[in-house]
Amino acid sequence: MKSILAPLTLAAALSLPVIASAAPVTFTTQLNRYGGNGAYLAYYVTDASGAYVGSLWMAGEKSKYYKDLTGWYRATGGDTAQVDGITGASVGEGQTLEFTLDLNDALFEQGYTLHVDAAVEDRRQSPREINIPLNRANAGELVRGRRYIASFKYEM
Amino acid sequence: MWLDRDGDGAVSQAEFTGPSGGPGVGMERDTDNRRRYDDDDGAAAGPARAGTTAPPDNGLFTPGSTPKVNTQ
Repeated sequence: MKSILAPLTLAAALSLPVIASAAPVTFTTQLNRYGGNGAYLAYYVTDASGAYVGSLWMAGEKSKYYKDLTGWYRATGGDTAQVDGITGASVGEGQTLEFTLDLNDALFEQGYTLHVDAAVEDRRQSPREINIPLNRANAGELVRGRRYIASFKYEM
Repeated sequence: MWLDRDGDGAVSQAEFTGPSGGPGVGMERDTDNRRRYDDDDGAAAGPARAGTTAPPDNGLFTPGSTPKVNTQ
């Protein structure tokens, strides 16, 4: 029995830090009925100094339009590798986009801020329409956007 | 009168439409100025879709995780 338990105990001990550092986070964004085509949305994180850390999601698959997501584009130079594996379709007016990501727990309470840029065909660009510090206190808080985004929240 | 290429003070149909019947001077339609956000028009390749490859290794994601997405 001892010979079986020892490896199991070791495996459990090794897996605990991984479990403790992962946080499934659900991001929900509802768009206004602005009377236009689908919106491109870029979700990205900056650190306490305002420096770009990384992207969390890209709604919209045509990279040639990413320049209209001006905050994200300025931070990344339009590098599509930043959103490989985290890109989906653009979001129609009035629709709700919900995505869940397994994020590093260390992302929270570290002074990081989540930004959401929005752009719509033939409409004004809307960089940093959402800006919300990533911390547990803000989880579940509904935030209003300026132009295309009716509401946004993240839940942990 | 920038369309009046022969300088007669009037814009003829030929000057307006161009010699081939297409757009005249200054009348070319620059469709690139319109931001087309149709995901299905087959133009310009984009990044890898979620689920087809792992999220970027930027320190934000748990290694091996797969995003889940839903639009309503």
